[in-house]
Amino acid sequence: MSRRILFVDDDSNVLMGLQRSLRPLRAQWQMEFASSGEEAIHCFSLRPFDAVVTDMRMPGMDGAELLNTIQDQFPQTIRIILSGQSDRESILRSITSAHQFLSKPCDAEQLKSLLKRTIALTELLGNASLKRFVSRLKCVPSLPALYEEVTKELRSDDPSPPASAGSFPRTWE
Amino acid sequence: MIMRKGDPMAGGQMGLDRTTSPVSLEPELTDDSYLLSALLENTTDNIYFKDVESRFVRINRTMGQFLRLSNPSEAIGKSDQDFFATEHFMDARRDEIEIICSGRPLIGKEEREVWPDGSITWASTSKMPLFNAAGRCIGTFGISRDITARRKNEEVLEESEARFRDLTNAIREVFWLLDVQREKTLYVSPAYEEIWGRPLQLFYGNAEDWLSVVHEEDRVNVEAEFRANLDHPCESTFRIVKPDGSVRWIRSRRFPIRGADGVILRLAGLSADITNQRQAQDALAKTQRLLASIVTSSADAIISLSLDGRITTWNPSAQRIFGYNAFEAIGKTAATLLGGDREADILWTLDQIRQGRSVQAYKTECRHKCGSMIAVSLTSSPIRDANGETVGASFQYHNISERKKLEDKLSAVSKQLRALLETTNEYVIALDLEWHITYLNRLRVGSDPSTAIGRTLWEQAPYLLGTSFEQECRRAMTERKPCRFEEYVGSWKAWMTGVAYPTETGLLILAQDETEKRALDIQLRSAQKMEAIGQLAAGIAHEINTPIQYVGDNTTFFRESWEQVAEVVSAAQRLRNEAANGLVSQAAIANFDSCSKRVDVEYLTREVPQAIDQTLDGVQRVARIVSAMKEFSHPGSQEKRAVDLNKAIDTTVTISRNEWKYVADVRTQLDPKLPLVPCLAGEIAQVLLNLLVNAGHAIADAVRQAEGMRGTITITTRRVDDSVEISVADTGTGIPENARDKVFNPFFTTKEVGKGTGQGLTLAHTVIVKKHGGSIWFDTEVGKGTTFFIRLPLSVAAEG
Repeated sequence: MSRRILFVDDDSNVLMGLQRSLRPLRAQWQMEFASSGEEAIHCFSLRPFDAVVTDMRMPGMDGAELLNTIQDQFPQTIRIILSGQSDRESILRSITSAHQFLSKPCDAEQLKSLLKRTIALTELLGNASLKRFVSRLKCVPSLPALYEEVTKELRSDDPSPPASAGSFPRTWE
Repeated sequence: MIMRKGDPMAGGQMGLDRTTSPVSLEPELTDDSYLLSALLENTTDNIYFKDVESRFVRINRTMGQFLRLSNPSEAIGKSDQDFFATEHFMDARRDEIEIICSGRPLIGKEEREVWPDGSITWASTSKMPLFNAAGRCIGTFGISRDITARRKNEEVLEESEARFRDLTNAIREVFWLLDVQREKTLYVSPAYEEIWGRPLQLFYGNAEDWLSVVHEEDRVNVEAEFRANLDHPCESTFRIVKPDGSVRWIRSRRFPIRGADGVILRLAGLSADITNQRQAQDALAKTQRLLASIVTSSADAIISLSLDGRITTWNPSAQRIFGYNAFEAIGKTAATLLGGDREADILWTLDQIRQGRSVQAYKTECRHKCGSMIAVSLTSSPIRDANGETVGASFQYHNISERKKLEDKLSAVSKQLRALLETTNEYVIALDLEWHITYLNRLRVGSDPSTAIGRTLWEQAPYLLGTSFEQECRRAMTERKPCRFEEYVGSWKAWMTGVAYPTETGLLILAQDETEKRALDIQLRSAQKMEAIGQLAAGIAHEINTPIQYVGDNTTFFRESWEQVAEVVSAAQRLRNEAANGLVSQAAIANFDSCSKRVDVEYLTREVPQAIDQTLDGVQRVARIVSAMKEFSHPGSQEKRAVDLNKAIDTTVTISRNEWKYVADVRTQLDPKLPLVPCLAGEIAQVLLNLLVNAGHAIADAVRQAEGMRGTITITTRRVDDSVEISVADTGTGIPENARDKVFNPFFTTKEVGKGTGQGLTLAHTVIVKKHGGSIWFDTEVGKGTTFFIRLPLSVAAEG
């Protein structure tokens, strides 16, 4: 079953370069190329993709906006950033809708293997509804601090109400 | 009593005394004789009878006693000559001859009786002729009373009256005497005419005449006093207006004159003109007040001493300087109080004073109350009374210890100043008007600056001649105003900057070595530029990373393509080899077909040349950015150089591309004939960058508001007269009205926090206006955009 992948970049040279270097995989992957966020959305509307690889800074709709839209409308799509900006951390912090970040220049092998691994992972998660839930997650929820305190106290030799329990019930954070 | 009967002369003796007289010669007189005798015996008056020769024929007992006779009969036959001095005898004889001759009596004559011892007695005498029966004058008889005592009193009175008159006539005060009712003027001295200027008669005519000219302001008081109780003397001072209009001050004393029984008999007064006295007193008082204020306010201790050295006055400064107050000091002996171990000095000074000499500025010491000695300078002069007698001494102490302290302080300050001058990094040079060095705090080479003193600045540093430093110093010297200089001293390899200040004595030059500061400045400026590049770094990285991405991809494509092409080529070679042998195997043909089928030659033929072009383009893009960065970040020169502004604009556009390319296109309308402009290339480039980035941001804001729009940044260069104009126009939001007058203010920004520092346009203003003598302004319309204009002069004028 061939996977559909959409590449988005405002620089056509970049798209053409990708097309050329990924051409050997054209048998496994059905690749399409869009030169703006708007065009990408249009492509999605025709037929959704399994993965999208987008540039960040683009005129009009930028990468972040595009990924947010895709996350909302096509949550199962794997969302990958391929950006010329090198500050990966700050970008990932501000754009929570991306699953992966690749910075330019990124060689073809690296891109291929990332795409392959990610696609393989989605195949492992067969259940569509679970996939839908997980892919919607922005972050992994953690247990509230109070739960930690209470269990710790219960485990001690001589349990007593913890000091902080005075303010119980605490707001669940 | 007239006796006409008998002639006493003829009768010989007159027996008037019954006891001493025998029975009278005339018996018909018996009864009368008795009466006469009784009278003669008992009267206290002197009675005597004389014959025509003025010989006594009878005297009574009182007369006898008067003539110091034990028995009155002893006088018979004698005459005045026997008892009195000839003078009286003659007078009396003359009177008696007159009486005898004329037959008329002499009544009430006051006779002056001169006795042989010179003493004088007075008698009031009446003498009458004695007639005999025939009516012939036969003698005289007299009755006299001793009036010496009365007469003496009268003489004394007369004398005192005369004296009083002389006195009152002579005194310059007006003396007046009124009756008790104050109605009648009994006496007024002539001085009234002079003092009051009115005739005496007016006073005599009206006892209140003097009141009529009393000054109207004083009159009520004076009248009240005048009419007040007479019992006590009173004194008043008032003014009168004399007929000539002059105003005089009068002091008047009034007092009652009482009789022996204490009853007031008269009212007397003395009035004097005290105008001159008052004026003199006023003048004196003024002088005294002045002197007192001088003494009080003097910074010097001024004290006066009696000749025995006791302090009599003590001014406030004396208290300040010596610590004693006036109560503690006055009455004490100066030498004891202030002498300390210099007691002899005070004694010596007093000795000089006693000899009438002054002492000038004599340096000595005095003891303060606390015991310490104070350095003073003493000036002393004698105090003389009206007669010129020295009665005391004035001592004026000038405290020179304060001056000494001040001098010490001054010297400490000057030491500090010197230390400061010796340690400061600045060069301080003082010159006189002929350029001789009078002070130099340090030398650049060598350790002892004093070696330079006395030489002229130009002897000391000939290499400064002909420099702008010399020019500015000479300007400061001639125009007498501070002049700044900035000079690269070649032989020192140092930048010297400073100021030449004209002083009263010449010139003061302050200079500092700015070489290091300048080096730091340059470093700082290039650091600022690097910072600007740092801010652009993300964008530039993006600009570089993107081409590298596709250059890399394309290269990968080339490698893979080549592998395939190489296979086709090797299959083709196999075919060619077999064809050469004339035997083409089926296998070789199948191999070639399979290869060329796999290779998609058509695709490669179409794709490879395009990929090569794009790759070269990418490489070129990277190369251009790198070279623009290099150009932009070049530290540049500190001197203005002729710069191609068009090229500078291209560079700036290139490196800032990422800042605007998503929202705007840049159009440049650069005048190809634009002359080179003398400027600091690096700083101008930074200004252009700021304007371009601002334009990009303004457009981004506008584009965000209007979906799908793209803006335009238009950069134009042109020549305007003697300057070059650069304009950067954007189609952004425009500058709101309330921000327009603040755009060049430091730290003013309308951008979001973290996006702008508010320094960009401030820097632009500084660079264009201050460093290049150019101008920068803008046109803006909200919603349409902003155009910034820069004009740079083609001639170098402003400071570098």
